[in-house]
Amino acid sequence: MTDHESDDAGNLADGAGPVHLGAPVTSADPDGQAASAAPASPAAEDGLHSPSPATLAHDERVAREVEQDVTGTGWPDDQLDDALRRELLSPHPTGAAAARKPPSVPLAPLKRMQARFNPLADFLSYVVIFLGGAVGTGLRYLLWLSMPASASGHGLLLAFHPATFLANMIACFLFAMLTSYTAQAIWMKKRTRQLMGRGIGMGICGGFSTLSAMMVEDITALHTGGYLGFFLYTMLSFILGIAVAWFGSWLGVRLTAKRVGSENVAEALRNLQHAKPAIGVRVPVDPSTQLTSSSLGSLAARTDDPDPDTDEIPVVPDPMTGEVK
Amino acid sequence: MGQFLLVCCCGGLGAVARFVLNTSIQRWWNRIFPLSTFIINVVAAFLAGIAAAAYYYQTVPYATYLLFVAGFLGGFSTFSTAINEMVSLLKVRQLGMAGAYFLLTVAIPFLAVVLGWWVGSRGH
Repeated sequence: MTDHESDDAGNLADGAGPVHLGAPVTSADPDGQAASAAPASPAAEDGLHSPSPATLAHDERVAREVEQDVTGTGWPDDQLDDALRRELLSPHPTGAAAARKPPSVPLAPLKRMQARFNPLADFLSYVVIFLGGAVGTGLRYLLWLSMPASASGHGLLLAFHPATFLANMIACFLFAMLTSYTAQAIWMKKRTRQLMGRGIGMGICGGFSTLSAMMVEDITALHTGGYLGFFLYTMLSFILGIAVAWFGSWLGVRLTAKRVGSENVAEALRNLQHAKPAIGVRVPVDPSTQLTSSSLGSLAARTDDPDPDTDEIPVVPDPMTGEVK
Repeated sequence: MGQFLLVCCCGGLGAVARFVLNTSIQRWWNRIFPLSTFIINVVAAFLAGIAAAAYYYQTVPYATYLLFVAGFLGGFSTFSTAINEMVSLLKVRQLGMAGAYFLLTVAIPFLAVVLGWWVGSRGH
């Protein structure tokens, strides 16, 4: 949600990118000396840089030497390939993104009103969450009506409330399974997954499970003096809840594993056929490096990095909420 | 039946309130600790404490208590999200953070409900 701003900044940087594409290739330098030889600003950016008279002419000479080293016969082929691969794999932010602290560009006012950029302006989410919450709460209320309020009239089980406990466990399981399923199910539309996560996850599971009722039950148990029962009930709820949620997320991964595997293979095949370097990667223009499109394809396939989709926010679930943005 | 539908509606409103609060908190909180769920649960527990005390001392009738606690606060507070945040913290090997979140989620809402009970029972 909050990364729309940085996303915009990224687009901005991409737009400024091609300016740097024509820069001389100081690439395959294993010790990173090319960085110090870069002509842009030899000023005291970092204290590690030696304060020798690093004039611009000197820097250019070093850069040319490095370049000759790359294009000449200095290195054996596999070493060159390895260094080049390392160069291609390392990120090269250009433009505004290359700054120490990349600027964060605020959203345009009109974009704040659009559901695509602002979840709080998403009318359909409100509807889905309201309906889900109503269904979840109604189910919990029915469960609560159909079960005795307390497992037993006396003793340890007095503090144990089966309806709340059961509702919490079922909701934990369902929510964990849904979260891991939607995080894996890349074949579903992003919007569908988002609405599913909000309607079923936040609405139904959130409405079905409750912490406040559990706390009220706890304080009632304290009032009647059932300290041990209160403690056992709370701990059992939390620990069994974690176990059930762990099982649910494992099951969600298992359910999607087969299809995710085949989708990944298809994606790798697509990458092999139309390979292109990632944004910001400088491809050497020197023909003597003999970099054909097929060898570039194998390089790109080895990175396991899908094509960047700069038009929209990347489809990654939030690690905490599992919400797919 | 009418009461059942009212409880459902209150639950839906609680879920929407949680969505708004959750999104608003996540907008400025970008650390790994799941602060939004934690704040939501603490607030819900505090309100539940007030409601329980009010019902206990017969300040409000049972129907109001039911609508507010079983309906609104039931939809507002969440157990499943908190547990799943613990599990995902465990999965990314943030053991200390997961343990701290576990202890805080057990302890602070309970203190909040006691505080709410104390607030709700003032004057009795």
